[in-house]
This record gives sequence, C-alpha cells and structure tokens, in this order.
Amino acid sequence: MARLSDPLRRARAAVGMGDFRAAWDVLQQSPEPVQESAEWQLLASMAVWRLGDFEKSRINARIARDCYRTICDVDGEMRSENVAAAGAFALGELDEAEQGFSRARRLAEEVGDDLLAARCANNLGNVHFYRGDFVVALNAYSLAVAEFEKVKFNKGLAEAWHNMGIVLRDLRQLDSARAATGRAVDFARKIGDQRLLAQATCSQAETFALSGETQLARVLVNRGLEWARKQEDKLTQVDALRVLSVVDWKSGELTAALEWAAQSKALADDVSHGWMMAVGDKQLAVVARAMGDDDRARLHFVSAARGFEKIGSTGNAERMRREVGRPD
Amino acid sequence: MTKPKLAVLPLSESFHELWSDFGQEYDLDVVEIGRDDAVPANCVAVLIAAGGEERNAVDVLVDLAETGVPVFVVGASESHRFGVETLRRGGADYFSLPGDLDLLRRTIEGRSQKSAPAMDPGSNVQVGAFDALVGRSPALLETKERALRVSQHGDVSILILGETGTGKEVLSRAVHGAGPRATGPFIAVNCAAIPDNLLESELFGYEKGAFTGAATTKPGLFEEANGGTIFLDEIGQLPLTLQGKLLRVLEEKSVRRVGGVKDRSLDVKVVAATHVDLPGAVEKGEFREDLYYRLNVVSLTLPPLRERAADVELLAKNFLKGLADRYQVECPPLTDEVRRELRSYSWPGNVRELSHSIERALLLSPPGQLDCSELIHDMRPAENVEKNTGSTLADIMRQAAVEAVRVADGNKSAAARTLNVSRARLQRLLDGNGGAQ
Repeated sequence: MARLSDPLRRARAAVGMGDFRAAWDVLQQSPEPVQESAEWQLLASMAVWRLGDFEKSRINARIARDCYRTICDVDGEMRSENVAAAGAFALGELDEAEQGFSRARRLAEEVGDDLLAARCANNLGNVHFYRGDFVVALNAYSLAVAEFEKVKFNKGLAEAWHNMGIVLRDLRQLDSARAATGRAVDFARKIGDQRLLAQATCSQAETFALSGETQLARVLVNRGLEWARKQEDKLTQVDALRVLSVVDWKSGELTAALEWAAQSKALADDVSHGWMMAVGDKQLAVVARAMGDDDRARLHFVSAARGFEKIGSTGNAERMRREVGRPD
Repeated sequence: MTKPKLAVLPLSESFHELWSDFGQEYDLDVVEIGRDDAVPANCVAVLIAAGGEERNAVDVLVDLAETGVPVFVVGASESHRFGVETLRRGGADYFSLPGDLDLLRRTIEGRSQKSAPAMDPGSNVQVGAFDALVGRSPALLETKERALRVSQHGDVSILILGETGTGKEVLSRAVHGAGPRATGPFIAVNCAAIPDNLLESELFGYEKGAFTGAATTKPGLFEEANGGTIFLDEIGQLPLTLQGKLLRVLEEKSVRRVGGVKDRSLDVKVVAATHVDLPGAVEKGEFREDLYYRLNVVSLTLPPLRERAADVELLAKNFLKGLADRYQVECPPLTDEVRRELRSYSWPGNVRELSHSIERALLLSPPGQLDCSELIHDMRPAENVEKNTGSTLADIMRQAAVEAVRVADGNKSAAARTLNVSRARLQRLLDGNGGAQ
C-alpha cells in the first residue's frame, strides 16, 4: 500500500508547491495500477494543463471525473470537472467549458466548497468574456467577487476585480471600471503579486486613457511596462505596449500609436498567445482607421476576426466583421 | 462595573418569560419600564412587548426613539404594516413572534456584545461597516444614523436616493455589512447597464431550453444573492415589463426562472438606488407606483457634496492617504492653497469627482506635493462643436441619440445613461419626437 500511495503523495506535494514539471515526472514513473486510479488521472490533468498540453489534460480530467462519479466521490468529481472545463477553455471549446464550470460550481455549492465555487464563477466570467457576452461576464465576475469576499480570499478578489475592470471598460462604464481596476491594484499589492500588480496597473492605464486622462494613463502604463520587463513577463509586456498605443491614439499621436501597436502584435506573435494576437490586430486596425488608412484597417480587422474565431470568441469575431462592414 | 441593561416596556404579558431568558443568556440586567419612565443608563436596547397591542406600541415609540437607544417592537401580528410603521417612527425593528424569535435572539445577542457598529451620539466618527462613508456634516450623519438603524432589520427594502457620485453603492455595502446578512453575499447590479433582452434572464435566471441559446439551466442574480443582499442600482431604468416581475419577487419572496414553472423561495434583502426623480417617473407612467411604494419602505438620502462643504477636506485627506498607499508614493500635505481650491469648487460630480481629482493631482504632481493646477478639471465648454445649420432641434437631438446608441454598440440603456435621459425619452428622441417630454 505504501509503495502505491508514495508517488501520488509526492505528486500531490509537487502540485501544491506549483512544481508541475516535477509532479508530471513523478506521475509518469508511477506503477501501472496507480496510473489507473482517479487521483492519478486528476493530478496528471492538473500537471499537464500547466505544462500546456490542454488536450491531454482534458482527457485525463474526464477520466478522473467519470471514475469519481462512479464511486460517488463528489469532491473528486467537482475538482475533475473544473480541470476538464479549464482544458476545454484553453482549447477554445467555450460551450463545453461553460457547462463544465457550471457543473463544478453546483457541486462545489453542494459540498460547501465556497472557494472553488468562487473560482468557478470567475472562470465562467472568463468564458462569457471570451465569447463577447460582456454583460453576462460582468454578472459572473460580480458573483465571483461576492463569493471571494465571503471566504476572504484576497488573490481571488484581485483577479475578479481585475477581470471586472476589463469588462466594465469594454462596456464603456468607465467610472465603474476605474473603481474596479483600483481595487484590483489594491488587492494585488496586498498579496504581493507583482505580476498581477503590473497587469492591473496597465488595465488602470487603459481605463484612464479611454476616459481622456492620457497623462495619468501614460504615467501608469510606463510603470506597468517597467515592472513587466523586470519580471520578464512577456504577456504583460504585450498588453502594456498595446495600452501605450491606446494612450497615444487618444492623444492624437497616431504615428507613435501605430508603432506601439505593431510592437505589441509582434511580441504577441512571438509568444503565440491567441487572444493577444487578435487584440493586437484590433488595435492596429483602430489606429490605421484613425490615420485614414482604410485598407490597412480592413486587413487588420479581418485578421482580428479570424484570430478571435480561432479561440472561440465568436462575439468578438462578429464585432470585428461588423467593423469591416461585410461578412468574412 | 454594572451589567448592561435591557429595558422592557410591557404593553402586554405575552412572552413575559422570554425577557428574563434574554437576561440570563446574554448577561443583561432586564429592567421593566413604564411609558413615562426614562430609559436607564447603559441600556443596549429597549423592547416594547406589544403582543396584541401593536397599534399602541407604535404610538409610544416616537419618544423612546429620540433617546438614541435602539427600540425594538415585539408583537404577535405578522402584518407587514407594523414593521413599516415601526421604522417610520424611528424604531430599529419589528419582530413578530414566534416566527422571528431567532432573529430577535441574534439581535439582542449582537447588542449585548456590542458587535453591531458602535454609535456614540457624542462622537462624529462611526466604526465598523460605515467607515467607508467619511464625513461629519449633519446631513451625512443623519443619513448614517438612519442607515445604521435600518441595517439591523434584515428584510426591509431600502431605496437610496442621491445624485451621481454621492456613494450610493458604498452606503448599500455599509448597510449590508452592518446587518444580520453581513456573512451572506452582496451582489450589485446596474439595471441601466444590462440590455433589456438580457435583464430578465440575468436577474431571474432561466431553465435549459427556455430560449435559443439557453444551453444550460442558470440561476439568476436574485437566487445567487440568497441569504444576502442584492443592490439594484439605477432602478429607475428598469423596463416597465420587468418592474411587475420585481414587484412579485418583493411581495411573494419567490422567483420564477424564465421558462420555469416552479416558484423558488427567496431570502434576499433588496436595496435599490436611483438619481432620478422616481415620483416624477411614476407620474409620467415610466415607473410603477406600487413598486415605488414597495421599494420605498425606508429611504435613505445621500446629500450632494455641495451640501457637505465641511466634509470636502476630510474626504480629500482620506483619499490622499488611500491613493498614496495604492501608488506607493509619499502622501503630500494639504496646503492652504489646496484647501482654498477644494472649498471654492462646487463638485457637481460629488465624491467621485473629488476622488478622481485627488488621484490626478497626486500622480501628476512632484513627489510630496499636490499641485493645485492639476486638482480641478478645466470646466470650460468644448470649443470644437460642429455647428448644425438648417437642422431643426428635433433633428439635432435625434442625431445625438443615434450617435449615442451607435457608440454604445446598440445598448439603448447605456446610451440613455450617457445622455442622462430615461430610456423612454431616448426612444422618443430616436423616433424623432425630440421636443416631447
């Protein structure tokens, strides 16, 4: 018995410490009987998700979920459902992700796991946001905030307020967005999460820029970019460069805006981040149109539409196509 | 040190043993008082034991409420009317026994432990849930005192009135945090921000297959707020078609999802807020009168900042401290010049505008200073206004309405908010009936 449970215990510890490579190594070396257990499947799904193999993660999580369901282990089923949904989300299968996160949330409520329920609410918000259903996303994030407040989980609050700020900005509720991004910064600082602090600061900057406060925006985005560079956080650098483009666009400095947007897109291409690539194309399109270069704008709107479509963000793809003025 | 007291004014003999139970359970001295007696010192609460004498109870309530000690009426009648009257006359709450016994116990327990936010009539500072509402002006203090009283009643609906930027959501959160639902969820909804076609499904939920796209069953925000509070901001923008459904939720304490057949019971406190003139909207037929009275069981009004001039400096200091911490910069002092500048401006955008001004000035000023020139926005009107010659006023107004809807991606509620008009008026503008009211 001790021989069988050792690999799982070590893998669990590695996952708990965030060392997913180590966890996967241990799991792969486990004896076959162990690999057939629900827990092995669940731990494997968590590890490989973090290592970027989303399809494998989803397969493992589904197997774990079915095993746990068979033995009526609601807790295991709930956790597996959540990871399976995360895999589906990463693969752009938004309908499957929505159903999975909804089920996981219901199970979490059943067993009284308020923290997982809150995480699922936040994840559901992400699904709706990716779809372009901003209002539904906003309500999901509001639920996540309410539930994270209940369990006093500051990291969750930082993320949920950050997400709310983004969607409120997209809904053009700029005063509310400003308040939300401010709270995200406060919580990020409280928990000492430098990466999230840089992201939230860039988000704040973008809200200020859209509110016409370009001077403030410039101060903050430069700060966010500096932090992102120090941490070698390429994704946040992509976003910061894009926000610099927004600031210059709103300030009327279109040449500079175009240059920043191009840099942002190039870096997004480097890191192969689907969402960032699509958003980068969108910003290029917006600036090109402001410069009167309609051909270039159209090219980038079309590219953005394709990019959004690829990651399942049909609502955003549709918005881009409307900008072009004809179906793709 | 003497024990805290619980004063009981018995108008009837009902539940007589309960009071001495409270005394033992919560370590209180139970003191019986008459109608003309003074409330004893060190008293945590007054109970008017009114089983069968509810009408008399609300009569004696007024004098007792003026002492500042919370007064609770305990009756046998379940009629909602006595609860409303109790609150209107200054009482803290009405309990109908035996149904509300648990709630009454929790309330007395809370009072005995002084776990509810302390309210020292001699102090200008409140602690606890109301900390976020900074200010010492009489107008604000009056609202806070009233809010604190009503917060102890977990079920009564509240309508918060105030101009944009006065802190309606902040007050709503404070009421939630100070009351018996503090451990439950607080969910804020902006009724103006949600398109009409989504509002019903989002608020009340839907069953799988109820409409195209309803791939799963989804509980609405009312169900998600169960055990807690739902804050409905911009309630004046709620479409008439949904006002009836909201009224039903308030009256029957249950909700039926879109496409559902089952009524699901609810335990949710509703706090609504608006900056529009709701009675005026009722007169125009844009808001249901019955819903207005149902929401307006208790109303709290937040004064505009221009009526709280004494609070501007206090608020500014408070914002400076918080923002300096957020941005990790030195907190600058308020110079006399800055104080003058703050006092001389009318702050039409109220507390929110003040907060934004402080934020801008803090970030754009040299370290350790607050530059006056960054403090208040240039209020001169825009100069580059495109002149429309040859168009009628209706044409111009319709163009503005069309543009607002376009910018809002077709969301008419959001467009109405941008233009600061009701949704019904926006529709009239779009229809070209711009001159009609």
